[in-house]
Amino acid sequence: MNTELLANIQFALPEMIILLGAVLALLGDVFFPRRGAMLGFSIAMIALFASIAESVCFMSAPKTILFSGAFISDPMSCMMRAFIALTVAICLFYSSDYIEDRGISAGDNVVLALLSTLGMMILVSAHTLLTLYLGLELMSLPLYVLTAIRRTETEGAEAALKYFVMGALASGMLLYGMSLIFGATGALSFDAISEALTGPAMTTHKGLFIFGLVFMASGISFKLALVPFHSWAPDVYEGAPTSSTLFISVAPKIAALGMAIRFFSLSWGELAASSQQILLVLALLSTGLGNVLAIIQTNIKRLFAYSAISHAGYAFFGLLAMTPEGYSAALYYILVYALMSSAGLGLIVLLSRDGAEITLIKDLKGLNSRNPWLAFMMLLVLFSMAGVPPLVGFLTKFLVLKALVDVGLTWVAVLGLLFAVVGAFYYLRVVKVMYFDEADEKTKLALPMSTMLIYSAHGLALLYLGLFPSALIALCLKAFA
Amino acid sequence: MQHLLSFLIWFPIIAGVMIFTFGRDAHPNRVRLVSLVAVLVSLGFCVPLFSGFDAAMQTMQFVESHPWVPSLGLTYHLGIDGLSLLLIVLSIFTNLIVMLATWESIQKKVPQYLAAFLIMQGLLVGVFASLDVILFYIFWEATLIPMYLIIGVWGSDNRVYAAIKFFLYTFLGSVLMLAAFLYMGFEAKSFGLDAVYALKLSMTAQSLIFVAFFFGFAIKIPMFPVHTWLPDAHTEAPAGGSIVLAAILLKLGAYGFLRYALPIVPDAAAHFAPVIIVLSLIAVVYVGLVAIIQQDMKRLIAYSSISHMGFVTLGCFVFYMMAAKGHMQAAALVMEGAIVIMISHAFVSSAMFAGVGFIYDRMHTRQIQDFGGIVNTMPIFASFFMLFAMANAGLPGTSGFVGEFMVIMGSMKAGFWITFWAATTLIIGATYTLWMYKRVIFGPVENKAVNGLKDLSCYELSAYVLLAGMVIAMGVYPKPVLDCVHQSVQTTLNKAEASKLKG
Repeated sequence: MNTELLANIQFALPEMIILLGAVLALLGDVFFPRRGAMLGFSIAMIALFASIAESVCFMSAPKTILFSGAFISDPMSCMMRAFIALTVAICLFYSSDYIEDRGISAGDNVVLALLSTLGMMILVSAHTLLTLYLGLELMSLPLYVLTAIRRTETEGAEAALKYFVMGALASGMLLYGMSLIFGATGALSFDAISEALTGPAMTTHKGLFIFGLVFMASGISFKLALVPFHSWAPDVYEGAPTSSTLFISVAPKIAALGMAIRFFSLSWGELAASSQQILLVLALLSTGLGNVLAIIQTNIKRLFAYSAISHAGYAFFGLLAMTPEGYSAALYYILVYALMSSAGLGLIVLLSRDGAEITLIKDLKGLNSRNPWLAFMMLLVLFSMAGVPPLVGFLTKFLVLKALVDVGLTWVAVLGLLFAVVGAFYYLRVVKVMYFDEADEKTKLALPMSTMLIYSAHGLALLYLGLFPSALIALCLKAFA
Repeated sequence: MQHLLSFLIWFPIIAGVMIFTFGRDAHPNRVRLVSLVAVLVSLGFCVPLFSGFDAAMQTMQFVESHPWVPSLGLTYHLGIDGLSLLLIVLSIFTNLIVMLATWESIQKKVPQYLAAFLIMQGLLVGVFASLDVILFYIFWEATLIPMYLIIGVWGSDNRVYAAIKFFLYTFLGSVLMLAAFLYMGFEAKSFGLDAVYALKLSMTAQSLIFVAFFFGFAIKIPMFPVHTWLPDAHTEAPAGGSIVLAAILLKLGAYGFLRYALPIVPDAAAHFAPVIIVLSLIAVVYVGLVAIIQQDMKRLIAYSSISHMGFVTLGCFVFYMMAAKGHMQAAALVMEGAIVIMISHAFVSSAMFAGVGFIYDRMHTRQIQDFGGIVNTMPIFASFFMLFAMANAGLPGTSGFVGEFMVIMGSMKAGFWITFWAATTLIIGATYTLWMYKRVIFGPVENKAVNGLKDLSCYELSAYVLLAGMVIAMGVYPKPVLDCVHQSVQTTLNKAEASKLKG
């Protein structure tokens, strides 16, 4: 047995636990079909929280490379793994009632979710191009299936097909970009590529590097739904069952941004300016177009899709600065975004109960009269997404914009702020529907006590992180120090 | 008493959250009483603030400083000088007026309504007490949330439009201000106000920062030509919202000019002063004329507010025209005059908006033509309203006169034509206020509903007595207010005079 291969294997424990959980859930579903739902859910929760605990334990450990250089455990990957597991757990919890009501196979849902989670974790811990690709595909394939999990519904099937075709195209581009870079450097590991980028290979193979950079950037942008590679997102968000929309909109964003950080934080040497330009165009188009197009949406899921596009653009502002502070800002942005988005779409899933299905913005009409507390929580989420202090969404924008100003890109920061004003409009409109409009139905809305407690804690966390942000910010800064 | 400022910020916010969480729609009076007690407690804690305040000290007082986000250099840094002290007390006092004047007028979702006002009160104190630019920005922006809800939930017919316009307009202004803060924070390596004051900047940087500040503060005040959100917001807001908007939120802009724009970018401020002065005079004259033809009482008072705020911005910037001629005494006079107008306008406009609210609650209309002869059925209200109308027109003996007189007299040193146009306000102000008063209060009873009006209730009356007392006290003996702000005006003037050009 090769001892070197297994050295420091404990750093991959978070992934192993998830894999074990997925397998156990699958077996449980096979052997106890009647109790599969409950069993699968419990196994998933245990696995996810054990994985969080492991990730948190390794957070202060120094950077370790294992599996012969294929896999890296550093503070960034630990933070991302912890947040991926946490948000997946939150999403599974919120969607459990929805899944049961709609007759979706809960066992399948849990297994797919866990396998996708495993993919995300591998993706953020990848240290070679191949591991990166492996993680990406393992993350994406279950997502396609989750989109079509209600296979008798045509919208879901249509969305899944779109998602699959577009996703496959993106993977193809990414793979092609990788092959070009591999061709130019003869290396797969990020360290070796970084070395080659600053070495003599740069002069001889500059064209290959540029092509590789562009293709990989396009593939990554597809996954994060950045403009102009965004067109799949609104359709998929709308067509997928809301439980799957919730899942797609949260943890995969963290993983995809993790991939983007790994790729763009390579030392690009001569090509730094070009990659910065690519990032600039992607970020500005996404924040601009995402926010403008969100204004005309009437479907709340499409609204969240465009909002996700613009938020991914803001996270890219952090990458654009190309400084450690910028990368930490992007990391902080996406972690907080995952919390906000899971709370926002989470409420849509939670309210889609007792035969009601929330699809349009106006379905939230008069929520303040029907359940003031939930309306207040949603208010916090929306203002946080709009970037209004004292909620945490303000600090995320503050951090990325500060990173931009610090490298002299003040004009980009000003544009980003102006787009934020445009964005504020559609969040305000949702608040308006909840607070200013009278409800058609006067009945009170009630959620089970446990759900209510968890959701309140989730909503108040956005306020808490806004008032006492120093711990999380310090962790994010340390990840790239 | 070391944490007095923190207490004044967080106590009402916590009280507001508690009221929102535990208050029940079924027991509105219980909730009203608890909120009133919360405001009175806050007001009570202003007493040690006043007694512990040393008006002669040049530095900030009641300073609190804790690291907040050390990795970004953000601190929770509070402190006040005379100007902030007055505005803090004014914010709390205004909230008391709101509670009393709109005791009965809000019937739906009372706990949420009162919670919004209490939270707003805490945030406003935070704005005036912050000594860290980002902390200031956070409080500044956070006030938008409760105000958006107040206009949108309890406002009248066109409330949604007004609320969204209010939010986006002011949000647009303040994000540019944030960009300026970010830039200065980067240059100064700290977001503390002292560090930013000490920062030397090139003229280009100063001009850009000034433009950003201008958007932030001019929209908030609001100055011509970015004033259009205010008439809508005022008209559609409930009476309580209009009171806070007029009394405090508009003053945020003026406070921003005095505390941030003038001391941080003095050279650019001097450079742009003529533009600001012209815009201020347009506000005074043109917006005053616009006020005359308004049919809606609230719109009329809103335009009158913009016109008065023109005086404030004039007072803040006109000294650049005199400093060159060496009239430092007069410079201090106009700036103090501007502050006095701010305070006086808070009382007078609160009273006017409250008055409109009183008759709106009874008749459900704000159109001037629907009224007439109110004096027959509401004599007490009519007498009080007379006092406030006179104060709005700047009658000697009321608070409205003092500030306007100081600004007009001082600006004589800056140039005759500035004074000339500024002084037209005495005629225009009298025209719109007194003509409105005549049509609403006097004359024959045209509308049958007027016959059934009841005079002020005890809560409404107590609000009016408090306001009337303030208006007369400030009109007769303004010295305490002047003493209080004298030192801050001197400090601001010194900072605004000294060039900070990077050499």
